[in-house]
Parts: sequence; C-alpha cells; structure tokens
Amino acid sequence: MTREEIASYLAGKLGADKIAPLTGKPDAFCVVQTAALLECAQLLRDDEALRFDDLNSVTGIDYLKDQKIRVTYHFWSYEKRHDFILKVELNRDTPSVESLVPLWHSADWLEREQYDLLGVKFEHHPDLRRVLLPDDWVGHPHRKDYAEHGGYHNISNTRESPLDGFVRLDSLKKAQSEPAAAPAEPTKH
Amino acid sequence: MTQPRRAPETPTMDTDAANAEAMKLIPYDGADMIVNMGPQHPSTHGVINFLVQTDGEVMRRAIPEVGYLHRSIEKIAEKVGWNGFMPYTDRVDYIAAMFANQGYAMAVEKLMNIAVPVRAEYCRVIACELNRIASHLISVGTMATDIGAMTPFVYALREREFINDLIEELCGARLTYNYMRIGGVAFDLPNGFVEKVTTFVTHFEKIVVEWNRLITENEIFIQRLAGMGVISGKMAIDYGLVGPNLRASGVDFDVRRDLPYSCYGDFKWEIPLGQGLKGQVGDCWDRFYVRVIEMRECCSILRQALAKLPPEGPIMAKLPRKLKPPVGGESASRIEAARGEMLYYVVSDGTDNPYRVKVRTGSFMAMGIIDSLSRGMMIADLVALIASLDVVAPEIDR
Repeated sequence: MTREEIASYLAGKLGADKIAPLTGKPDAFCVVQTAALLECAQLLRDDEALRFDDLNSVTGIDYLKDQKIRVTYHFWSYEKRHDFILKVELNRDTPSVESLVPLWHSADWLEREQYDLLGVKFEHHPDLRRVLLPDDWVGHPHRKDYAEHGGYHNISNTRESPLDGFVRLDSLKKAQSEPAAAPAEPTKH
Repeated sequence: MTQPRRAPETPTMDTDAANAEAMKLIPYDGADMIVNMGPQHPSTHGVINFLVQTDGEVMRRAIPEVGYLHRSIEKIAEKVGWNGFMPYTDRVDYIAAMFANQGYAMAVEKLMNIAVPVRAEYCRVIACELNRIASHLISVGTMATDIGAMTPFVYALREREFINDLIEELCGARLTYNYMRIGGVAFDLPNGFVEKVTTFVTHFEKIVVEWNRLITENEIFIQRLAGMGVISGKMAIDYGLVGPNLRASGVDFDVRRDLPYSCYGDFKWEIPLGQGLKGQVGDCWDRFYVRVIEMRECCSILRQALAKLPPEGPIMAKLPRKLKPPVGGESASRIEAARGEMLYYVVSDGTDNPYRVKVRTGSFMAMGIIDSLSRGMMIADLVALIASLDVVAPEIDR
C-alpha cells in the first residue's frame, strides 16, 4: 500500500478526528492525536492489511518557536514491504507520550535515546534511563535552548587558548617592515 | 549438526517469554556477583561497558552501558551547515565511513530533489562495496580473534591493506574518507583504478575460498559458535536488528535489492541467508558465515559495476554554492551499510544549517538485544555474541 492509501485506511478505522491527513514533502507523514497513538500503533502492527512489524526509528524534534516537541515514528513492514511515518505533537514543557515498548521491543532503546537527548517522557516505558549521557547529566542537549554548563565533575569544558600572548608571524613581519616601507611618513612632520 | 549448547538449568530461549523477562530489572540481592566487563576490554570493540550479573560461570544478565564515545554528532549537524556536516559523518562509523557519507548525501539529495550523475553513482557503489569488504574483513577477523584464533586476523588485515591503498588512491584518506558530496562525489576514479580493482577482485575471490578453509570450516571454531546465541527471525525483527544480523536469522531483506537506491537496480547478486548449516538458523556461526559470503557477493557487484561504468561524464550535479532546502522539508534515506540498514532523517527549516539530523544505526539496535539474549549464557560466550553482532562503539554512541 502507498502512504496515501494507508493514511485514508487509518482515518477510516480510527476516525478523522484522531488522525490528520497526510502532509509534508518529500516524505509525507500523518499527525496523530497524542492520546490515540497507542491505538493507532496497535492497528498498524496487527491489522491484516498493514502488518507493520518493524519500528524503524523514533526521533524527537524541538520546535522552540511553536513551543512544541514533535516525535516522528518511522515504520516499516517486512511482510508487506511498505512504510509509514507518524508524528505526535507534544507540549514542550512537559512532553509525555505513551511508550511503544509493549508493541515493538526495538522501541526500548530508541525511546531511551530520545528521552536522554530531548527529555520526552515515554509513559509506561519499563526502563526509562539515560542511554548515551551519564545518569547525573543535567539537561537535554538536543533542546534548542540547551546551554552547556561549566564542566562535569570538575572536568572543565572550556580552556584557555594556548595561543594567547603569541603574535601572528605575518603581523610581526608587517610591523618590522613598516619603518622601512614607510620612509615617506617621517617627512610629513 | 551440533546440538544447541546452553548452560545447564537454563530454559531454551523462547522469544516472547524472554522478551517479557527482559522488561524486568533483576534486583541485586547479593547472592550473585556483578562484574564490570569493560569499558577497556579488548573484545568489546571499542569503549563499551557490560554490567554482568553472574552466578558462577553462568550469566544472569548482561546490561550494556554505552555512551563513552558519544560526540553528539547529530547536534554538531545543527551548527555546521549542509555541506559542512559531511566530514563528521565519517566519524559515525569509522570502519565503514563511505556508507555514512552516502546516507547523508542521499537524504539531502532527496530533500532538495537533486539528480546525481550516473558516473557519480557508479563511483559511489564501487567505493561502498570496496569499503564493505574492508569492514567485513575486520568483523570476521576480530571475531576469530575473540574466539581465540589469532592467525586469521592478520590474513584479514593483509587483504584490507589492499583496499585501504585503493581507497587512498581514490580520495586520499585511509579511514575517514569524506569522499562523497551532496550531488555527487569529490573525485573521479584515478587513472588505472578500474584495472587495479579488477586485479584485486580476481585475487580476493580466491582469498574467500582460502578463508573458508582457514577458519570457517575449522572444527573447533564450529564447535565454539554453532547453536550459540540463537536469534529467531521474529525476534530479530522485533528488536530491530538489521543487515547481516537480520539475514543470518533467515529474514530475506536487503535494502540494496528491495528498495534499490543509487545504481543497485542494475546489478544481480545472491543475498546470503542464515540456513543453520552447522547448528540452528540465527546462531553465531550463521552470522559469521553470512558476512563471509557477503564479501564474495561484493566482488560480484564490483565486477558488474566496473563493466557497466560509464566511460566519462560529470561526477557532480550542478548546485548553488549555498544549499537552501525548502522550509519544513524532511526526508529519510535508508541504505544498506556494512552494519546493516542506516537511516538518515533530515529536517530543514530553510536556513543554511539542518534543523535536525537523526542517524539510526545498526549497532545501536544490536546493543538493545544483548540484554535479553545474554540471559543464561556462559560468560565466555558473551564475547562471541558481541563479536558476532559486529557492533562498533562509535556507531552506537555517535
């Protein structure tokens, strides 16, 4: 099935109020209501015509202007050989969405990564810990307003420039050649 | 046929039961010992730590702790501009850097609707397949070393040296290639390159046979690996395994054939699947053997690509100096990298820099399965399991 067919099939099954029509270029996606995500994902996995057995990727994107975090899910079906993309829109202050681990175990690490980098809370995830950053790290670096704090456990993330106090060679040469090159200047005064 | 070998009093791996169990954290009651394997362990292929909870020689569980090599490459992409990100993609997987190059280039090309010249596509395929052989040589070589067979690794590195020389001639670098550009490749094939690759391929096809005699069919090697760390096809899909790991479990899927990109549609080759020749489908030996056969098939693709290579033509599409993808555009590219399918997801906001770049790599997914697979294995087998999944630390952490 093409993405258009899947989108209209989903809208027919779920109701048009839960899932928005296909948008986006060049990869088209559907925005689904946050509360209906699990229901929609269940349908994607178990429906005879869809059979999405692979959750390929989970990506969170921070939109500072809209005060939104959007999470993109890429699905793929090894059985039917078609793909689909879903998105949910979350409140930026308390982003939280239902976890897909009960449906696909690949969601475990994928969601942990997005929790780590963006602070999206995946509800009912069995083991929602940081995966790439240390457990005591402060903040979520993929937020657009993330500011580095000064170091980690006394390991500084800034340093003095080793070039401070040095003069560029060509500016030195320039300074040396200036008195010779400008003999006309003293004659002025 | 070797019987599946597991530690005593351990139930056989059942997909759903194991999955359900994997979701529970085992409380530490002091009866078992917890050992740190890593981060500086010779067989973890980079800096990875495993928290191994053991009861004697039998593992209760091995929890992977990753992130030691996290360089936040995805965040760097948001700062350096569309073209400027290309050298950073090399560092995603430094053993097979061509694929990360190509995945990123393809995602941006799809986003901006750029048509890549045919000769450039062939250059890409030739470079990628050479790189795939080099990467698989490292993989099968280190796997043999981890098991205890030291000699084959040296033979593998000897062959990889030829490829390194070839690629150095092509793009001037032996490890971090930075060969591809958005819209094409950086350099055309140098003079005499086609002949050199043909010579190498002719030479290497014999090496694959020799390799099988040397290690693949070695009785001790088979006894060690057959029937160990079995991953069923259903479990492999559920945990999102990709590439050779997935095919070793018997799932017939290759992005190059099933979603043809670049010029892979022009070629025909055999896709090796795990058949359980020595044990069960999806065991460690199958994962090893699939890679060996894949190296042979790379030679076949290389021969076809060299035969069909357009004699001349542009290697770069005509592009403006500053790339400006459309506002709100987003695209994903899937390629078959050496460690399985790699997904680049690129989002643009119409400025000079990407708004978000996401790299989904094969090693990251492979790490997710180790926790549930390690239950009930022997400690010594964990090394073989990690090696057979072919994880590379920088690709996990990015």
